[in-house]
Amino acid sequence: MKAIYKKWIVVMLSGIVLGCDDFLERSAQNLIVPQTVDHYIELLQGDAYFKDLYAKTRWIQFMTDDVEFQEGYSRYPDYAYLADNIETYGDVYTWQSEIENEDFTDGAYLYLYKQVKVANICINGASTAEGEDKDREILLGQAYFTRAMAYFYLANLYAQAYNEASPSDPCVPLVLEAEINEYSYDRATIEQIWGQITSDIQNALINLKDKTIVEVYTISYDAVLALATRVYLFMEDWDNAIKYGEELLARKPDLLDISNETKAAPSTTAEATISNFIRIDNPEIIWNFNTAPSSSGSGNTYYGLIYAYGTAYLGYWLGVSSQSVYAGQQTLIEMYDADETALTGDRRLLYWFILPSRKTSSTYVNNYNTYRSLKYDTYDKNVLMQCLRTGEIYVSLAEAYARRNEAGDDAKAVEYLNALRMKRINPYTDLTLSDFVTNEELVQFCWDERRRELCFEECHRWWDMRRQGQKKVVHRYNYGGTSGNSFVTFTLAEKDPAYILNFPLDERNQSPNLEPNSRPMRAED
Amino acid sequence: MIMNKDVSQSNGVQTVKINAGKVDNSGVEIGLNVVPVKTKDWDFTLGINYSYNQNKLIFANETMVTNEDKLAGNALVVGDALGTLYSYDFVGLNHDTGYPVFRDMNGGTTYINDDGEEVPNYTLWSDEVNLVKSGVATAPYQGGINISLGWKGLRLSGSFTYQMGGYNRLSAIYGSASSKVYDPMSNVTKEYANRWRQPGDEEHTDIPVLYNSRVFNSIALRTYQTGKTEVAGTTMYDNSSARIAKTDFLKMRSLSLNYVIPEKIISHWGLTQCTLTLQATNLFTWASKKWEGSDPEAAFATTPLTRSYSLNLNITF
Repeated sequence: MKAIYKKWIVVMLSGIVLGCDDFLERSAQNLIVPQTVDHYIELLQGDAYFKDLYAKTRWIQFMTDDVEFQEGYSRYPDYAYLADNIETYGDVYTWQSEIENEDFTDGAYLYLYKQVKVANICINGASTAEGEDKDREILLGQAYFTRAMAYFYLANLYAQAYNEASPSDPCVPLVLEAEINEYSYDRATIEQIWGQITSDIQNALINLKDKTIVEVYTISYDAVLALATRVYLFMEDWDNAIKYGEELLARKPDLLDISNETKAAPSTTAEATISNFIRIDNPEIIWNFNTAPSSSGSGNTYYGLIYAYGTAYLGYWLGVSSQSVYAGQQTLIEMYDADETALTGDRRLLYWFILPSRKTSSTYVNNYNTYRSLKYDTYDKNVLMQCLRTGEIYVSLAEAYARRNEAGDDAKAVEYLNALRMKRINPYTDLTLSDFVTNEELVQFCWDERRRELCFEECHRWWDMRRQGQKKVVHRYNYGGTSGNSFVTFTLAEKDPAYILNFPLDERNQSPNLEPNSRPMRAED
Repeated sequence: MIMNKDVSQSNGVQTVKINAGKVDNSGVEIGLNVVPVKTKDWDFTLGINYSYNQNKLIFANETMVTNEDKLAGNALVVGDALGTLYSYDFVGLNHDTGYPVFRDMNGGTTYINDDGEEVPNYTLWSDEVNLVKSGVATAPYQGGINISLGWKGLRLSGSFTYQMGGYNRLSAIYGSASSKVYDPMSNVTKEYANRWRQPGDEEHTDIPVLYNSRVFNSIALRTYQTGKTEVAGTTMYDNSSARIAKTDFLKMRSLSLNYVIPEKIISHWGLTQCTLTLQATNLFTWASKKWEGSDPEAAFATTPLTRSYSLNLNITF
């Protein structure tokens, strides 16, 4: 071949780029639009279900009288190990007008409204989703329950307690739509929000009735009954509280008998943190919604600041209240009638707490003189963190009967108290009506029993303080640093405006229509 | 073009994705493949690729534009191209001290301090900062060149890439607002060899004097005022117009020499094919001297492009 090629090949690839709409239209492979009931149930379980509720709301505890400022046996000179929950939660602990600071942001508001939003999406989408009617009803029931519980939390944190407010007082924004809006929401009234909560509970009851749900991780009819009992108790609607509480106990009366239990003196950190009560084989559990974080070591410091054995033996931190700071304020430990030496009496103290008397010489475990709550494990992710359980129903029923105070009601209240206390106390004797001179004494006893029973679960103590007269609380603080003590106290006055949280600062800035709650400036006493 | 917009937390989310605005995009792309020579023994191929693309923001949904956005090159300014970089307005090094001086938004380069003295703007309050446009980070002109020259079994091929018209920030001298002096244990940029040392040096260098922290604090800090935020001189210098360079470059990506050993030789050895290749990558980069050998395409990378050589023998039996 001797052919000679001399050729120019010119290829114009493209001129001006033009848009081609149809060609570009395609759906992303990781984008799933829920279409079936199952999709929506997965959405609810994946994005709602209150799985991180404990992490988002545990700081509420620091405003209660169950918590106090504590010091380790050793003040670390350079504060390197200063337990950071004082830095972070100091403004919460002293009920400052602004509780947020550079270390702490209130994430509860956003988190709870996320539960609301997911529930709204499920409720609005359920009618058109493909699936069997039975499953659709389960979806609806669980979504209504989710929304009711989220609003219950919101109303009890960011607005006045129901029994202290008038129906027209401002509550929180009422969001029922599935869409996201750019406008600023107004606050709905107490009447609207609580009306929504009860109507959602009724819808949940209707939809979940007679549905077989056996897993304690899934929202069931019993879970709705438990929330209903709580909501109507908070609304002081004794008849309904009793109605739903007794319906629940008729279905599930179980209590875990701890009357023979004591916590053996722990010899290692791991032993000291084994959760002994909120655990999967506890028959009291109606619905578990919050397992512990997956990390072990870091979980300890992140989740367990108030409860766990950890590095807090150095420096300062906020822990279980046991030292009286003023005469009118009982510490949590004082509430329990137990003999800490003989290990007899109220087993809730002996079994739910590590006592200072059970110190060992191990450096890390408990070489300091405070009580540690063991209600939650912070090491094992398989251990449950938060649940609805029948123990609450017993104290709620006792209170509802005592406060309704019709003929025979006081006796019923004592009956429910005894049913619970016989599983908690050893040696045990029944309470009798004659133990209480007045109905007020009985009511007070029910409230005390509630505090003993529900300590460090959800936000119970804070909620109860808000609805049980909003009493004066004193918190003590030591500014002494590395040398000497310099105690100052802060006082939350009776019916203090700070019994209501303000909305997170970010949200106040974003939403001009959201009328803020006013919390007073608070200096040390 | 998608951006985040803050919404009320009552929505259960803090931000939503919205359409950020409208961009007018136009450009041209040309590919050229030329075979000027092809004979029995010789062939030569030349491939040229050229693209030009420019865009302009014609409408923005979010009108709030912060200085941080502008400095980072992701501000949405109507009329600007996407990725337009802004910088602090660097005036020069002070004749007496060797510290960088910046122009404020009123055009001034000095201010009157509490003692009534006129002091150069070594630092500025955040609300008097002046930003100047420093060009677009994405180069509008980009392309590549491929050549291939063959003679019998021997082939020489090379590929080049180039871009033009773009700008980027040089790697930071200070890194953080507080680093005025250097840890003797850590490396500093060799640009410091060319720093200001004595009055007059400002004529031929932009690299400031080595700070003594104490002196720096006494000279280059403003007296605290409530509600005012100071932008540190170190931060401003790192993000100033002095630290901007053109990213124009021509790179030789690879050069290879390939020899297919003739069949009549290898058939004696019982082989069907035998190829020997010598290849080098990242041989040369022609770019602005300001880059000091670092790669204008990866402005903040700490290591230069790796040059590599390989020898490849490919035998088929």
